[in-house]
Amino acid sequence: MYLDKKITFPPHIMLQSFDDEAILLDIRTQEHFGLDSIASLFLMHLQNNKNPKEIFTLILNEYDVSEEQLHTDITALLDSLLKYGLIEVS
Amino acid sequence: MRTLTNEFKLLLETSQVSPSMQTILDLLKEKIHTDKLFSLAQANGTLPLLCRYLQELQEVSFHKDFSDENLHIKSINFYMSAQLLQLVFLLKAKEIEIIPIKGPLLSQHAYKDITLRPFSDLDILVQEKDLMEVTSTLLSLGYECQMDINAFTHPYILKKFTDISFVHPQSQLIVELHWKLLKTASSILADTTALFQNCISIPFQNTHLNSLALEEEFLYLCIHASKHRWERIEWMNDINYLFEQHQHQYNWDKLLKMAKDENALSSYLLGILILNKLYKRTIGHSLTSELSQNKKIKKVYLKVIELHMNDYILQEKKSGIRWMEVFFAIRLEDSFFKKLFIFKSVFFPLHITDILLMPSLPKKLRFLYYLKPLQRRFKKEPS
Repeated sequence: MYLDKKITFPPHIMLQSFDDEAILLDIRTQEHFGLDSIASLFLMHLQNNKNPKEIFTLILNEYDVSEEQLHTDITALLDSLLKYGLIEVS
Repeated sequence: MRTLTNEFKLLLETSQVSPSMQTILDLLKEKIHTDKLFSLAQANGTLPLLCRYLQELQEVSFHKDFSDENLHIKSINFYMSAQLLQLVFLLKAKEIEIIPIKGPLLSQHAYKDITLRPFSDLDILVQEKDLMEVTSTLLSLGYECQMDINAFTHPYILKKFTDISFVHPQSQLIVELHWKLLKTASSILADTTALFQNCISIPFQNTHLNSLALEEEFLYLCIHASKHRWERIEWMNDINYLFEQHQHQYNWDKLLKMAKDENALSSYLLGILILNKLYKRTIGHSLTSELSQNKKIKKVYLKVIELHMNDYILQEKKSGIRWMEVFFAIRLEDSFFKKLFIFKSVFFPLHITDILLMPSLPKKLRFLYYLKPLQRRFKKEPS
């Protein structure tokens, strides 16, 4: 699981929120990815150097979502971002 | 006596780093012309800041048009920031460094957010030795230059001009390629090599970009805004937000000395007076003393305020020489030679094409480049 890991964005990745949503852009390929509100919130906090566990708790407290569901959603999100080289995990 | 309009007051209040919500609410209760507010916010480059507080206060009556335009600005800023990063990475791979000026980097540096300050083009500063390589990179990205790129090898063009524009035909994005910051700079701001040596690195998205050193950036912004009579609130906001971030890091004595060396003391003091009067910023003893000795600054400041009172920015501008702008520039200029330079560039504006039309001339014959501007002036060709 990712919550204990350090997650960063490579330099060629841009992330910008647009109201409740956000866009992730790979400068090298010019591919962009739309993100829903929870994914946006998670990644925007990551970009601001908050740690994943802290963000997880923050979202859990703010949204009407079960811990198990949030865990599954965040894992799926980070799995796909990692697959496309949009984040780095260490 | 005329006073500031409610619309201007509202824009100014929402431009403060920590505005008073009560003042904003009180102003909203006054007579506000929504269309005028919208136009003024757009023209002054303060729509994103205005929207931030209108949204916070849930002022739904303004919401639709304002937020649509704000979203448009956000999208453009995001796109342009991405284009800037793409260019930076491509050039870095060729071991070429650039310094972005104004635009996305300023928005990030001053406001900590690339979407809070509109910008219409990308300005980048490069060293003369890298001009051809940067040009070929821009051309490979699809940008087009209206000018013969041989201009970059012409010593007189490099001496007399500061930048050349490239336009992307599909996106219409403009990149202004600068090899100098100012046309008539006389000290540090004229020395691009020194600007690169002094430049600092600041965080931008998930990387770092070069930026002018703090004092050089501040002085350049004051000179640039003074050149345009501080007609847009965004120029005032830029230095105010930078002041908020770095007021304890700025070497104010160094800045004052730089302004004097640059013959730009009046432009700098005007910026300081704006910070003091419109943003209630406390300024140090040495600046207070400089301001009290400089008789013309208060008058010039009142002129700036008058422009905002009269919504000058929304007025249709006539073509031809804008005398009020010329007089303002001359009045603010500290150096006699620079005053003459203003006259020369107003009456006989030299274009890059004027130089390219002729063969390369030795130093003593360079006055011949002015034949075309002379001809334009007396034949009343459009300049």
